[in-house]
Amino acid sequence: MKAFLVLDDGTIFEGISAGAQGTAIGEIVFNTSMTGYQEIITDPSNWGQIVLMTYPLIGNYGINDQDGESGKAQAGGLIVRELCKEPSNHRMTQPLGDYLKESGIVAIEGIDTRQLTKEIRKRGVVKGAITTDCDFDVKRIDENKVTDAVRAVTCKKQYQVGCDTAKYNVALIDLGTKKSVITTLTEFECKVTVMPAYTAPKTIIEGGFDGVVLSGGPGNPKECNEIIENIKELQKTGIPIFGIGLGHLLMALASGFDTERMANAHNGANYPVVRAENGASHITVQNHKYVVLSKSVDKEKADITHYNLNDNSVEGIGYKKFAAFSVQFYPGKLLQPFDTGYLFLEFVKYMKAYKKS
Amino acid sequence: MPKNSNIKKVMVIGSGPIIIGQAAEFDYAGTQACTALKEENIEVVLVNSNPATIMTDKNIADKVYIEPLNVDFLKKIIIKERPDSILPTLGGQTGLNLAMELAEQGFLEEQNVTLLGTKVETIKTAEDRQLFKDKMEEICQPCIASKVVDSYKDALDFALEIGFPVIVRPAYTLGGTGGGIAYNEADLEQIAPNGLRLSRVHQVLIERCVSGWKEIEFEVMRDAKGNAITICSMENVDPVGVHTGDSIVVAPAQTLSDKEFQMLRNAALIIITELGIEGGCNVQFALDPKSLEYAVIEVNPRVSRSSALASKATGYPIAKVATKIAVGYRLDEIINAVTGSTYACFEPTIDYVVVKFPRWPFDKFVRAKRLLGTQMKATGEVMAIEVSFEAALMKAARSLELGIYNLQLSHLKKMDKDALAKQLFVIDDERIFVVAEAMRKEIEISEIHSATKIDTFFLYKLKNIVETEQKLRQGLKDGLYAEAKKLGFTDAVIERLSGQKIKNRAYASYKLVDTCAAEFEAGAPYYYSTFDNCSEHSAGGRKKMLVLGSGPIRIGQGIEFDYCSVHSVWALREEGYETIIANCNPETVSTDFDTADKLYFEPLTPEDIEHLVKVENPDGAIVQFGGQTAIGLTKTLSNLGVAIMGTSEENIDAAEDREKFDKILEKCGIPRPAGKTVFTKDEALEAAKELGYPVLVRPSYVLGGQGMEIAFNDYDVVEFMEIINRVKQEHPILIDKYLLGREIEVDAICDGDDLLIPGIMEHLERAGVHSGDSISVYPPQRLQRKFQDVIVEYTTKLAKALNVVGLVNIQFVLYDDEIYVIEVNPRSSRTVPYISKVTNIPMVDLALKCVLGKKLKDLGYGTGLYKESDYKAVKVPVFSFEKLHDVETSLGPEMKSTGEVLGISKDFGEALYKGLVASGLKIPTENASVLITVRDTDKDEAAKIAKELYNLGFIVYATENTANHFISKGVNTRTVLKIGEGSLDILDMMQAQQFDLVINTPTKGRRTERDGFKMRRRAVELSIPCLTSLDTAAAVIKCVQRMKSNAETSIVDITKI
Repeated sequence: MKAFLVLDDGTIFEGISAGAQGTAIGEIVFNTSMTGYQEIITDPSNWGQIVLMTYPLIGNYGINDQDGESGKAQAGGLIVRELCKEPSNHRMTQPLGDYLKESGIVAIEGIDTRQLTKEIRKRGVVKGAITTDCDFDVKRIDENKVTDAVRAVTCKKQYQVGCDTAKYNVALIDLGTKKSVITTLTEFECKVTVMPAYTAPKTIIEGGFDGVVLSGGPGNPKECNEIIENIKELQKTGIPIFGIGLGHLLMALASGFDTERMANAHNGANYPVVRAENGASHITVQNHKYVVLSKSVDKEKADITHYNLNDNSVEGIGYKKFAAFSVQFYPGKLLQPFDTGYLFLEFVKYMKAYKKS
Repeated sequence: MPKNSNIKKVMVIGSGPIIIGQAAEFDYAGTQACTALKEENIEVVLVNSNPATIMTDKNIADKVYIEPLNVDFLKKIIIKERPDSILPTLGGQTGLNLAMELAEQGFLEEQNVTLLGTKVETIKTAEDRQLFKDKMEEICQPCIASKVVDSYKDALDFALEIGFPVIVRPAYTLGGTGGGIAYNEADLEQIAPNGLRLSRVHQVLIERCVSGWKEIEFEVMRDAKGNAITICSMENVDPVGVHTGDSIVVAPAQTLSDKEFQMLRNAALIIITELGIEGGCNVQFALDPKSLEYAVIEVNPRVSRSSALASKATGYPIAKVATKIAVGYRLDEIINAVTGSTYACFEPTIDYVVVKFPRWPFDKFVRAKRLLGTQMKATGEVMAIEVSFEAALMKAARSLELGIYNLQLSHLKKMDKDALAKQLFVIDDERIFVVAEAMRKEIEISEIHSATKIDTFFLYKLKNIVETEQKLRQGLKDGLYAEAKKLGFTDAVIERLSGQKIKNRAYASYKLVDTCAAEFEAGAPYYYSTFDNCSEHSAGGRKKMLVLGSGPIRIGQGIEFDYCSVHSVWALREEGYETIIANCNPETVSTDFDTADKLYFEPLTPEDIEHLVKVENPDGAIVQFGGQTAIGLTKTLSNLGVAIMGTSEENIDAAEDREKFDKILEKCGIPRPAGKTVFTKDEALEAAKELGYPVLVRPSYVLGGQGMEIAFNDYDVVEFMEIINRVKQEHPILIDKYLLGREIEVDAICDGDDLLIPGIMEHLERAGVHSGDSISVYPPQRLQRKFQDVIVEYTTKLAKALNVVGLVNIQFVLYDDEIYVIEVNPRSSRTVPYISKVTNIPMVDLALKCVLGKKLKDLGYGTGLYKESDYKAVKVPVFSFEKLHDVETSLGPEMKSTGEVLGISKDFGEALYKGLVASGLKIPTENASVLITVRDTDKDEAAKIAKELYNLGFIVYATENTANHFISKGVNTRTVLKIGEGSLDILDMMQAQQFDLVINTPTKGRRTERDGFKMRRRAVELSIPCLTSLDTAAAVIKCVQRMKSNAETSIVDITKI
C-alpha cells in the first residue's frame, strides 16, 4: 500500500506504508542510532514526534517483549528506508511492521532518508505528516500543535519497582521516563517509586525518600511551569536530586537558568560528552532538542560539569547550594572509565550523606 | 595531554611482502602512520622489505630501509639511526612480533628505544593464549573452553575431555596458519603437530568448537587517558568456523538487537580498558544465536585487516588516529578528518550497508582444496557500499572480477536439488552461490539454514535477489525495473534475464560516506552509488581525470598497481588536475579518501564505470596504471567518449591481439618464438606437433600467466586444453614454441617520440618460470653489452610501432644468442615500483607527464637507457603455499607468488643474500643436509650443485638413480628410498626433519599423483625450503658461501641513493 510523506513546505515523497493506516503529524526528528529502534519507538521522549531512522535497514531483529522503554509505542510516526519483512532473532515476538500496525503507528518506508536528514539538518525544525490518505491536506501540518506532552506520557498512578529491602528509597518523577533508567536505579540498590509528573511536592517531601530523580521526557521544558514550581519546592528541602534529560532542563529552569531550542537536535547513541572535572570523554546516548543556555548558568549557583565535545553545549550541571546534579544525556550504567555509570554512584553517595544527616 | 615532545625520531616497521593473511592493508595503515608522524614534525625511519609499497616511498618517510624484516637487520638499523621510539602496532603481525622480540631481548631498553602505543605487557597478554584466557577470566569475560598445549598428547587429552569437534589454533601465527577444526582423533593427529611446529613458541590452543555461532567483530580505540570508543561493528555472514578473512562480512552488524549489541560493545570496551590498549584494537566475539551467551574469540592489539575495512566502511581513519594516540594525543584532541569540524572522539554512525567479499586464488590454483576453515586462504578482498544488503552484496560479487553478475555460477546450474542439498554442507568459497542455487531449485530456507547456519536474515535477503531474478525472467513488468535496480541488478543482467531491452535506463546517484549519517556537514569527497533521485556529488570546475584502480589483490595483480595508481593521482594533482579515483579494494592507499580529490568506491566493471562517467564526465581517463583491470575497461571508456590518456585503445589492443601483434613484430623485424592460435584440442595437438615440444599453452588476454602451462607431450596438451576450456574462451588459445633461454625484462617510458629505459632486469631463473615468480636482478649481471643494445633497439622499435605514450613493459628471452620478444604490456608492471626506487627515476610521474603531453627531454632524466645505478637490486618472490593445501609448488609459467621482497646493495652477492633472507627462506649452513631429486635432463647440472653443497659441508641425499649419478661424478651421496619403497622413505625422512633443504625439479606434466608433488607439498607443510629450479639453487649456494665467510652485511637508506 502506498503512503506519502508530506513536509510542511509542501514537498511530497511517495513511499510504501510500513505500519498502521491513517495519518501521523508531527515534527520529524532523525535518530542516528544503528540499533535500538524498539527502544526509540517506545521512548516517551519521542512522544508526538515522527522519528526518522538514518540507518537504512530497520526491523532486522523484530520486536520482543523485553526491550521496550515503556509499555507502548510512543513515537508519532516512523520513517525508514527499508523495513525488514523477514526478521530474525531468538527473542523476537513479532516483526516490527506488525507491531506498528497493532500499535496504530503510521509508518512509511522507501524514503531517501539521507536526503531528508540533510533537509532537517539545514532547516532545523521540519514538521510533516505520514499519511495513507491520498487527499491529505497539507494545512493540517501547520495546525498541529504539540502541548502538554509530559501529561500525555507520565504514569497515571504511582508504582514501585525494586525490592523493599533495597538500601535507598528513590522517588522518580515520571516526566516520560525510560524503563531502563528505573532498572539501572534498582541495580544500584534503590527501591524506586515512580510518581506522576504532577504529584504535589508535599507528597514527595513527606514520602520518606532518600532522593529524587527527575526523569527524561518529551516536549518544551518551558511549558512545564507547574512542575518547575514543584521542583523549586523540592530544592528547598535539600533532598538529593538527579535530573536526566527533560529533568535536567527543568532543574535549570527552576534554578533561574534559561533553555533554548537547539539549531540541531541530538538524537543518537554517539555523542561525545566531556566531564569537566577530569577531562574524560564519554560516548553517550541522547534524545533532546532543547538545551540549557550555557551563559545563563549562574556560577554562584551551579557549575557546568559536562559539555558536548563537538558543539560545546551544556550536558551536565552540578548545583552548589543543594545536593543535586543533572545531565542532558541518558546515563550509562557501567562503572567503567569509559561509561557514565558513576553518575548513579554519585547519586547514591548523595543519598547516603542525606540519610546520615 | 598533547603530543609527547620527547618523541623526535620514530621507527615504523612495515609488514613485509604480501602473503595470505597480510596484504595491502598494512601499506595503507603504515602510510597513514608515517604521514601522521610527519604532520607532527617527527622524523620517520621506515623499514619494510616490500618495495611495491607506498610507505617505502621517499616522500612518505625520512629514512627508508628496504631490508629483510628480521631482528638482526632491525638492530643494525636501530644502531645506525638511533630512533627514540618504535611504532610497533601498524605493521601487522610481522611488525608486532619483531618489536616484541626486540623488547624481550632487552635490546630496546639497552638502546633507549621506547615502544609507542600499547605497552609490551598488554601485547603479551593479548597475544599469549594462556595469559589472555587468564585475564579474561579475571575480568569476567567469557572465553571458549580451551587449553594451551605444547604437545600432541596434551592436545588429545584435552580434546577428549571437552569432546570433539575442537579447533586448533597455533599461537603467534598469521591468518591462523597451521590451524583447523578437528572432528575426530585422526584429524587432530594431522592438524595439531603441524600447528605446534608452525607456532613461534611451539604452542597451540585446543578449544571448544562453537561453529555456527554468530561471529561479530568490533573495531575499538582507546587513548592513554582511558577514553574508549567503538569505531565499527561487523558481522560475518558466515558463522563461526570460517576465518574472518575468508568470510563475507557486513558492517554494521545486522542481526543484533540493541541489547545484544550493547552487551558486546560494552564487553569490547571493558576488554580494551582492562588490557590497557593505547591505539586501535580488534575484538572478535562468538554469539550464540539462541541465547545471550557470548564468548571472546580473540583480541588483536594492533591495526589489522579488519581495521582497514572498518576505516573504509565508516570513513574513520583508524591508523592515523592510532598513531596520534601513540605520540600522546587524546581522542578528544584529534579532529575528525571527514567532517573537519568534529572530533575523533565519537562513534561513527553510518547510513548504508557495507559488504566485504574475499578474493580467493582458486581461479589460479584449480587443484587447491577450496574448503574454508580457520586458516585464511583469500589473497585479497573487495568492499561494496549500498543502501541495501542485497545491492551491496551484488556490487561486491561483481567487484571480484570473476564474471559474477547475479550470484550464479554456471557450473552449479547443472546440479539438481539433491546434489545441492548435500553441497550446502560443504563450507567452501562457493557456498553463497550454492545457497542461491539451492533457492533457485526451491530448497526451503529452513533447510538451508540448518545446513549452513547462516542467519535467516541473510538467507531471506538472498532469496529476495533470487526471486527478483525469477520475476525478471518473466519479462520487465511495471515497477520491476526500479525494484531490480534497488537490489543491485545491472542493466546487462536485467536485459539478459528478461530478454527485453530497457527503454528508460536509470542512472546511479552518488551519496557521501561521512562518518555521521549526514548529521554534520562533511567535506570528505568519498562517494558510493545507489539508485535514488538525489545525488550529492559536486561538479567541480577544474579539468578532471579519472584514474582506475586495480581491484582486489590477487595473484598476478598485487599492491604494485595500487602503488602506480596512487602515484598517478599525485602526479595529476601536481599538474593541476582534479583527480577522481575509482576502486573497490578496501585495503589500499588508493581508497583512502585523502589520496585523490574524489574517491568513488565502486566495482570496476563496464556498467559501474558508465554510471560514474555519466555524472563526472571526466576530461580523460588514465588506465595504464591500474593493471589488467583498468586496461580491460579501456574499450568501455572510449565507447563512452572518454579520452584514453596515453597509449590509445587501438594500440593497447594491438599488443594483446596475436595477429595484430605478429604483424607489428614482422614489420619491425623482431623475432618471437614461433606460435599458433587454436580453439580446439585437436588444433592444439596439431600445432604442438608442428612446433615441436615443449610448447607453451595459454589463453590470450590473461593476467599473470593465468592458465599458462608448458606441455612436454600430447598428454599435457590434452589436459591443459581441457582445463582452459572449462571457462568459455572468447579469444583463441595460443600455442607457442617454448624456448629454454634466459628472460630479460624492461619497463620503458615513452612520450611518443623518445623513450627512457630506467633499467634492464634479468631473471635469475631460465625461461619457463613466470616473471612474477622469478628472481629478478637489476642491473643485469650476465647480459653482454651487445644484447643490451639489441634490447634497447627492440624496445625502441616496439614502443614506436605501438605508439606507446606512457609506460610499457616488455619481456624478452635470450636463446641461442638471439633475443626474442615474448610479451609486450602497454601498461605499468609489477617491477615499476622497485625500479623507480633503485634508479631514483619517478617512473609513474614521468610516464604521466608524457601522457599529458610533456616530452622526456624536458623532464630532466634524459632519454635512452639510463645510466646504471651503483646499487644492485634483487627482487625475490614470496609464496603462500603453506596456506593452500594441494597446490603444486614447483614454479612454471603460471604465476604463484603472492608478494615480493627486495635486496639492495652495491654488491650483487649481498643484494641476493638480503633478498633471499627477506623472502623468509631459511638458509641452512651448519651441519646441514640436502635432498636432491631431479628430472633426468637436469642430472648433470644437479651434480655440480651437489658437489658445491658437499664442499660447503652439506650431507647430500638423493634417490638411487640420482645418487648413483652423483657418485659417478665424485660426489659423496647417501641414498634414500623413494616414496613407498619401504619404511623410512623420503617422506618419512622429511617428517623426521632429516633435511634442511630440498632441491627438486619437477618431472614433466602436471599429474598431481606424482611423487615429486607429494614431496614438495610435504616440504611446504614442514617448512623445509624447497627449490624447484636449479638456478635458484645456485643462487642459494652463493648465499651459503657468503654466510660461511661471516661477511658483514651493509644496510642501505634508499633516500640516499
